[in-house]
Amino acid sequence: MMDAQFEAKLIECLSALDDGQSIEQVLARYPGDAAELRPILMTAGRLSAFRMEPSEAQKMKSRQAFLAQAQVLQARPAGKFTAFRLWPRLAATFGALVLVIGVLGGGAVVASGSALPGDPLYGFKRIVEDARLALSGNNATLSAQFAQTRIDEINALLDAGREVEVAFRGPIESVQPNTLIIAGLVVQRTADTQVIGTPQIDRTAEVRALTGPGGLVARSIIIAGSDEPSLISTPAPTPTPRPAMTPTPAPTETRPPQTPAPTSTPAPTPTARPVEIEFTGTVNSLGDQQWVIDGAAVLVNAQTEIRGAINVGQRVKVNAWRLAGGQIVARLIEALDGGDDDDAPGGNDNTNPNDDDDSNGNDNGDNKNHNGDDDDNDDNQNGDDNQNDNDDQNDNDNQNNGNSNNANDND
Amino acid sequence: MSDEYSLLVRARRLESDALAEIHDIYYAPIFRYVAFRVGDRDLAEDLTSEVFTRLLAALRDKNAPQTTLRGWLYGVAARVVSDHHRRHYRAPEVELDESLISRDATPAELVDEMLTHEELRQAMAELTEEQQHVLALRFGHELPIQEVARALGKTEGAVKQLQARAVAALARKLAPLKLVK
Repeated sequence: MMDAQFEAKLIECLSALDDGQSIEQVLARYPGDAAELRPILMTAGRLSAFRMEPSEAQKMKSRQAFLAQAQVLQARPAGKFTAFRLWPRLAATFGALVLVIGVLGGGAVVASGSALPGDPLYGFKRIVEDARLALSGNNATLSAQFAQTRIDEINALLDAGREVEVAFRGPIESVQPNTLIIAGLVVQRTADTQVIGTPQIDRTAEVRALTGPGGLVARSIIIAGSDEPSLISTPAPTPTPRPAMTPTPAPTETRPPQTPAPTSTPAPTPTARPVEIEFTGTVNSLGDQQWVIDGAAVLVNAQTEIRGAINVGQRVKVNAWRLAGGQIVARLIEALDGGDDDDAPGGNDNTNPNDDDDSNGNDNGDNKNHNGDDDDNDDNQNGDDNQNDNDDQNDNDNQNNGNSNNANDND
Repeated sequence: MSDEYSLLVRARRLESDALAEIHDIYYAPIFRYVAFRVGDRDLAEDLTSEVFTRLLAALRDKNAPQTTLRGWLYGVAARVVSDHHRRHYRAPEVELDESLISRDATPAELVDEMLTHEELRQAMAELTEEQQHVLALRFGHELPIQEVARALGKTEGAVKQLQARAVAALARKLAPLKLVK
């Protein structure tokens, strides 16, 4: 280990190198330490030589692929297919997919087939799946096949003992105090596992979990309504549109009944019931009818109960209904006082791009962004492994259940 | 509202021009960072694209950064790199990027450079994650000290110290190999 004095000299030498001085010039300052400093400064010099510049051609290729992937996503807003809009969407999706394949080469599509969550091509694999599903008009067989793929991926990860965050959805087959069997997978429930709803055999659960040598440990288990269609998503039969801004949240009684599902009805299913969700987040903006919390639009109405003084930047806990269309209607928004682990006072929504570069999430102190969101950034980063996992088959079903995963993740 | 903020707002709606702008601004910095960490051009290109794919997924899942795009992207880049290392810890890449080798070097120099390159990469892999992160930001992307300090949420003094220790540790690892002349 270096002593403090030597370290101070080294720091000064590195700064001098930075300012453009040559190694010999710098070493002349400390002749007594030159022998020791030299190899270190040489190493620093060599590091600079390792810089690589991107090739312009590759940058353009990446850009095209990136935009094509975005188009695939955009062409496929889950559950919004109607007879009139289906064809243009399919055409757009198909075009975008052709572009992706064209840019990346068909090989990437094939190669991505065996990618597991956490692998570089995994995100691409999921996008290809999404596109195939959209092109098939949300074909039920295909949807079920991709659902099985998720389960197979998890088994492969478990076999390899890899630690990756995964998400899947399936029927509950067994309920024990500390373990559940969901879609054939043994899921461990710990004190940290967030469970929303009552796990019962035959109900469908959305699970976010961590794979590892010790098995599958659930982070959250969300029980879907018992009358929801399971894995099969069907285009909504042009339902009477809900008034977007003044939804009447269903009272508690209309929550999905706990009774077992009726024998599954094929084809168009009734509009799904609202699902109760709870999450915490930072208020990004306040409006008369709509707030934005952690980037998500949250509708407020006369029935919404607001507890505490809430300004932009405040961390809040939200209890809400998530409607079939994906809208979130707040029932209760409560100011959290403990949530602010940043030094900066609340409400300062500073968007200076230079002020924010928190890649480790630990920039307490100099961060004047809306506070408390260091946490959020951390979450984002930590969740990166599985952003792609979030959208398992739910994305393709009409209920947009994926949202609640994200919301709960903020806790 | 800064440009970055409005850019993000539009990106969240998956507007092509906003996404294109983000890609154009950040491709090179992220590539330099990743390339420095993995030392292989093809791999760096793949992993850089993966960073942008993850951005799309995050935008779609409403997990996207609110105002912290650059820091977020570096964070994801670090994660993509460490994911890669975790997957390939048994099979280190031995591919050599030819552009790193000066064209008019003599064969002896060439061997020396190749050796240095590979040894340096291996030595670097033994540093802590944070040290590697700092070196990549400082030497890969040539981000000034104060920018690195912001990115890491540390004081400039702390970054200087971190950098000095990282370089010294690297030099120590290389010393027995006599690769540093």
